[in-house]
Amino acid sequence: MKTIEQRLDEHLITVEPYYLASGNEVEIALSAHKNKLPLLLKGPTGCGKTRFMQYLAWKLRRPLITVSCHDDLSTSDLVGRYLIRSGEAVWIDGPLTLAVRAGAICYLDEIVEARKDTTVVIHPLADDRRELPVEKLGELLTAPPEFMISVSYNPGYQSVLKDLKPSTRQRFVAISFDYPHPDQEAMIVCKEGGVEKELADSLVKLAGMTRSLKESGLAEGASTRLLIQAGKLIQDGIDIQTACRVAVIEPLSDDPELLAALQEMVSSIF
Amino acid sequence: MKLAALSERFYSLVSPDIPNEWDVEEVMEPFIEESDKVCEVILGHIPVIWPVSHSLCYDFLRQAPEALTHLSLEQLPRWAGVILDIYENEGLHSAQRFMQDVVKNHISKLEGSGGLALTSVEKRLLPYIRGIAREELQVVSARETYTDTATIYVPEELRLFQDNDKNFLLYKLIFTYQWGYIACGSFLHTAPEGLPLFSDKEDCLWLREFLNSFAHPPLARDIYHLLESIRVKFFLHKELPGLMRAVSKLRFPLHSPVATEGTAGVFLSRIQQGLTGDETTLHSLLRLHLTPSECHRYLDGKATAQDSARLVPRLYSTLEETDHDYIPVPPFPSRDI
Repeated sequence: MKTIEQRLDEHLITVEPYYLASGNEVEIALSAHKNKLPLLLKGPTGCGKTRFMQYLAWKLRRPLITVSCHDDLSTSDLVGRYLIRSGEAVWIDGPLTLAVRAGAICYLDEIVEARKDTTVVIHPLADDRRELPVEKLGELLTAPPEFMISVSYNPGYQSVLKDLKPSTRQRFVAISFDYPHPDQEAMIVCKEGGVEKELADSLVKLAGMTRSLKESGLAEGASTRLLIQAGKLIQDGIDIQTACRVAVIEPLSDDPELLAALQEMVSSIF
Repeated sequence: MKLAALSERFYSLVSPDIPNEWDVEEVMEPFIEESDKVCEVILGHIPVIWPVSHSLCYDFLRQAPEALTHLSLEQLPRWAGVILDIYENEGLHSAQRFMQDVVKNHISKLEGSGGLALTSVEKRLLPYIRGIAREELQVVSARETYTDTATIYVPEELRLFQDNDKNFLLYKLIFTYQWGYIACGSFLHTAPEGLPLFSDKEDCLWLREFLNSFAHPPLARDIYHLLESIRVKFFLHKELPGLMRAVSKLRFPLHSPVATEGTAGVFLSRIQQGLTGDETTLHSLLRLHLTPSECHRYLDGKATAQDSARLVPRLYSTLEETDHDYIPVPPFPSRDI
């Protein structure tokens, strides 16, 4: 079984992740960390929220423990549970407890996917108490100064059922993310996708077109992530039209008419 | 729905007009047997038709239930649009005749006479043009191709080519060109420097006033339109090279000008043909009446709508002398369709 140090080492980011700031979000996040305030990141899928957290963790030299939230996530999944090992009940810290003990950054991705009775476990960590009750151990952990909790979600997916309670959201410093400015987005696609600027500009143009189709039945247009994926395929020798179709268009929708319309955009640009 | 409720609904839709009670009851009575949804869809057209013509509106309401035995609810708005189009161009009697036989006069044309119907491409091209434009543009069928910047009006059928794939590409080009005029700022609201003001009203389109100020507005309009078409061509080459590359492979039938050689009509027709040809041809034609630097501005994609407006008076005075019986050139890319 891995030691705590081994587990934490796995979460330490030693190489600077590529992140192009679009505003003063890094400055805000660093200030939040310094002032022991939790962070809430909101924005569309694939716009850089997770990459931002990786960059922040690298900059702060803290391990980043990420939890992908879902509606089966229980408090035990976050805090920890007893497991049977060699006939003995052994306590294993969950990611949240591990992060508190180590002064790491705990990042709960897509927090609205988790049930509200699960997310309330973070409340005492996300206000000035900065405590985590571990009831099964009878412990009350106090988070060290370097600990930070951050959460993210996509406002586009919100519904009455999947929403953050005011008592949760009002504990956080919130940063809104959006797709970068086209020039910046092209730089990112160049760097991460490995394509030339002219091609990156065209991919970004395609994405911009897809993002205007909410009223036409496309809830979210192509993300920066999809453009990077297309770039990687093109770099690997896949022809542009095919790469755009499989990496950008097909993931967006199953509606044949909408897919045909999106394909017309591809054939118009490239 | 009961007659009283239907009549109330009618009055609310035509307010502040107060039509005769017996006229309203007469047209509303057949709707008693219709479902609420059908009533709402049909009555939803009243605010559009009533202000145009009360008689047309009553006729529409009389014919709509019968039309719906052949049309779906989704097809009704298009039928109403064609009715208004015919009314505007040919008058009430023509519109009434059109409404009397929805199968012969409308559905058979929708299904096409070997060409490509707008209805069969709309589901693909409407999201396409909305994505390209980043605007919720509407598309409506009309006899002429144009845009008012919110809606693109296109023919309800294209049959220029025998191959419907080419007709589809032509539809795509028409949609895109209309967007191109919007994107390139062709619809000038304010007077460029050096050109006269006509009205200080804020909602007045300066361009319309300007073009109508000439003795032969169609010639002025066509000059401006073709100069802008050149600008849009180069704009689209830059923005949508894939489309323009595909279009360059289309062999448009040569448009035979009806006018005499050396006249404005021939010159403008040749410019229009030059839009689908190479730059050298376009350059040679433009050099006949533009200075080298003016030509380069257009061919380098640096010209503006203001440049086009400023060129109109000079080109107009030159071309008007050659053609006192100017016949308007059908706008690109919709000619001969």
